[in-house]
Amino acid sequence: MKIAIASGKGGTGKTTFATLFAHAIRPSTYVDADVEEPNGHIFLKPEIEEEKDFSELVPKIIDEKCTFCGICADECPYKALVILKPTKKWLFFPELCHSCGICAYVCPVKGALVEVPKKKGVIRKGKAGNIKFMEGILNLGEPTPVPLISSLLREIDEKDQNVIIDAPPGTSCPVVETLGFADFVLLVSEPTPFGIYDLSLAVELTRDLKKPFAIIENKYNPDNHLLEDYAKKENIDILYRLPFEEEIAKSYSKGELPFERFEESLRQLYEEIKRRVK
Amino acid sequence: MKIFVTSTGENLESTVDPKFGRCNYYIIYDTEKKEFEVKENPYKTGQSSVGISVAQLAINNNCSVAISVNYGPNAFRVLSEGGVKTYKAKEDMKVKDAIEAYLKGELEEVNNPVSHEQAEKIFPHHHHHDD
Repeated sequence: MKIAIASGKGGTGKTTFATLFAHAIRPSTYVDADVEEPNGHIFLKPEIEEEKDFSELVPKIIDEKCTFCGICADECPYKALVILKPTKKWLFFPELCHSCGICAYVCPVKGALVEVPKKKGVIRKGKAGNIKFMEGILNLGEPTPVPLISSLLREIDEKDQNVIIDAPPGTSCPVVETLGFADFVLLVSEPTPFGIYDLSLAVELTRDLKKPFAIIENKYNPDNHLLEDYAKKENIDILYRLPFEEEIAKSYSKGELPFERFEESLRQLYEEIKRRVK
Repeated sequence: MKIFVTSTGENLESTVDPKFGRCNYYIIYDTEKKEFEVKENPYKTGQSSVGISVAQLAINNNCSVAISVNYGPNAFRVLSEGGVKTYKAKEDMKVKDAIEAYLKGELEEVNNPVSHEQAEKIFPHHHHHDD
């Protein structure tokens, strides 16, 4: 089973929860799909055993063959190519290129526009005890993390058990891509107006994707009913609560988490999710 | 010679639009015929890379000079590679005064674009994948 840990808002405790959860249900697989700022490694401290480049194709124009007709630039949806007809020059803006391949497809002159690989990030794999660890790291300045996320999640093996996918924040394309791989989604939220507003967007998205889901409440304070009220109104279960405690924040700031303390209750949560997915 | 000027309005009395890629209108002034044509900027509200598109308008209309106030880095690269010299008008200068100042050699040539960071402040735009 693959469980994605997502949230609308950033900084609600996705990685805190995802790493605690992956640790509790080990042997497990933890996949950090927040490739623009992966930080699960800080808490799981894996030994990296394998690192491979993630590349995509970008255009290269061969000056001797190019007729500077400009069709590639006209068709590029991202304006990453510019053909200057009067001066017979071409310009490429790599930070705008989404590697969609349209330029190569429409070029009418054989061999004038070739596609060459460009490194856009890395995929790393390793082990933290009996947790299999995987993460993607996108290079700075790349226009979209989606292809790397897609590549990373395709590396999850059928044999990998108890897979926890740490999703990127927000509700846009990278999150849609990530949730597509999940059998169940846990939305981590905090009981604040901002937290609940962004959660409501994530709820809308998860419903659109027709994924079974539930809420995890982080920074839980028994006197604060904001999130509980929202969940009741929307008829969503809050399946787990992490307490709002200075101790947890202190250990987090040192890259540590109280793994043992929540282990038993998180295993019970896993059993509950298994029942729901069946 | 043709001069490409970014303009807030539809005639030579309008002020120079300080935003190159997101200008309201562009005016192409022909110094030989002493005539101008004005067009609305079709890329004004585009999501991204509008500077590149507007720079291409200047090049494809055979302009050899551009007058604006702030050029973004991508627009600047396209203009300079395309052989268009870039000049900086003073803010609130009328288009006709800016053209006249250029012809008298009184406008400053721009040799560096505003940085991506400055550009983000001057031409704020919506990021489409990171909310």
